[in-house]
Amino acid sequence: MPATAISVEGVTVALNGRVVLDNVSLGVKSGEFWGIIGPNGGGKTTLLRTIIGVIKPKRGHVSILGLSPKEAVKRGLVGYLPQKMGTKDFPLSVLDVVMIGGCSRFNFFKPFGPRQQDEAMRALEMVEMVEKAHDPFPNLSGGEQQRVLIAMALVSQPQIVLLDEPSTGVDVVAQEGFYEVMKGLKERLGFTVLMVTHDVGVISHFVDRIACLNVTLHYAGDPRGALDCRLLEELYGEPVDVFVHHPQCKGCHIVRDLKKW
Amino acid sequence: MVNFPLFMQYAIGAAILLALLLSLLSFFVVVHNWSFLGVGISHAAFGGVALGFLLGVSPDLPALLFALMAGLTIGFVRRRWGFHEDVAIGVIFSFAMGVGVVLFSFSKGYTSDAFSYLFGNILTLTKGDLIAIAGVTLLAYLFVSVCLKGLLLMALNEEVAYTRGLPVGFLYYSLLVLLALAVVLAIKLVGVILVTALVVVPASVALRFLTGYRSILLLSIGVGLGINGGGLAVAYLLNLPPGATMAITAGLVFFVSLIIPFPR
Repeated sequence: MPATAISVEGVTVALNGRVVLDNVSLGVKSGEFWGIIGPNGGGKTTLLRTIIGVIKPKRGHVSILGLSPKEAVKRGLVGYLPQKMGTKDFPLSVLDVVMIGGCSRFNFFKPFGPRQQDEAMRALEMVEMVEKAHDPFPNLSGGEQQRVLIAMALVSQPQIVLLDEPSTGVDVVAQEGFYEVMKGLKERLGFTVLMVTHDVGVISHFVDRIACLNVTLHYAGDPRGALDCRLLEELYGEPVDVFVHHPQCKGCHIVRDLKKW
Repeated sequence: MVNFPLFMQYAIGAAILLALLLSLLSFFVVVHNWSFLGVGISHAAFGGVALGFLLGVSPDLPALLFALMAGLTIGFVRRRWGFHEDVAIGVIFSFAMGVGVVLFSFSKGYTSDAFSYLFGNILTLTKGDLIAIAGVTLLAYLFVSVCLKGLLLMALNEEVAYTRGLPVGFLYYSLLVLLALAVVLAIKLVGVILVTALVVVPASVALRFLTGYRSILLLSIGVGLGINGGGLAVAYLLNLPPGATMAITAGLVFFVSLIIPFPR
């Protein structure tokens, strides 16, 4: 049985006096690919930031591979891609962005050398972006930029990868390509992925587990279970139509009844 | 060979060293969107200048303390309460300037001295100032060379830098302290009001033309040397106020860079 990669136990977080996460518990096993869905303001980003230790919970406990978030981060076990990066107009080449992502407390004082360059090129190879290595990062399309940022999160070979809405601003086709790449990498490299997303229908094809979060955890388990419209209505507070986009792009279907799908 | 008077030799030395210092930090100011940080810190320093005059001591040390406090407070407000630096800058800028004006109102007869600090006065530069500027410049280059990777990652995203186990707080506050030192040292040359141009323009111009932090840093330093050197030369030849001439040169360089048709 795989070991627990991320353990969130009874976590309650209050920000500016408002409870953002209420008694949330989640157990993510090593090698699993989880999608976290939920409405805006439902606490998805807060959960990720609590897991990495940027936010301290009011109650409850978080551990990463049996370690405190601070210790896990210190040991370089976590790769993180936040919702907003300052890279959009950052005047760096694609290779620079990935190499800088490989900076850690272990190599902090060493200048970039051929080894860091090789590692960065390997990470770019994983996301099929080698040919753009020397292009200016701001000149890439949204989908290409996301792939580079994934390479940036993966270059240090983390065991846990946390992605916060990585496909925001990317078109549907690029999103699917992106999820395919993530799924393939996860299977090949064996890391654990926790990804916050809005793409309820699309993501269900790619992840092993889904967590539905709106302050409290409404559901955690098989992706198909999360497409139950009653659950989604409860989660989002209003009726929800789910567009299931097939991986082969045969067309989108509004699914109201999971059994039909 | 031209024999410059001593004050002019000091001014040339200060202009070159400050170009090296401010243009290096300019890169980080621009990529962090901290364009108004120079304004906040320099105006806070003015409060210190006024306090120095009121107490009858050299304004240099109070100005330095006010600038450091301003830099650290701006950083603390950002990191503790999550406001963008601009919010803290806006508050501290007017607060310290208000304090400065009130303190000056108590110490009548120093209006011309206040102008020296507002718009710069190269006659006030001393050998000690030059040594201090050289020391801070050396410190800044050492810091940036050693911590460049971490500074770049922090500029991309602080939380990512944190998840890489980097000392984000140390890097962030060190950068602010260096900026505060650089700005306060530049006040005698260009003044409280005009120093921002030298903090913002060099990297902004370099960013228009190049990709890659190494080349941008080098071009930024080149632009800074051009602005300070050119501005001071024009001021000397045409007998114009040096600080203001450098600020005008910086503005012209920026606008010319906008119409050069080879952006990156």
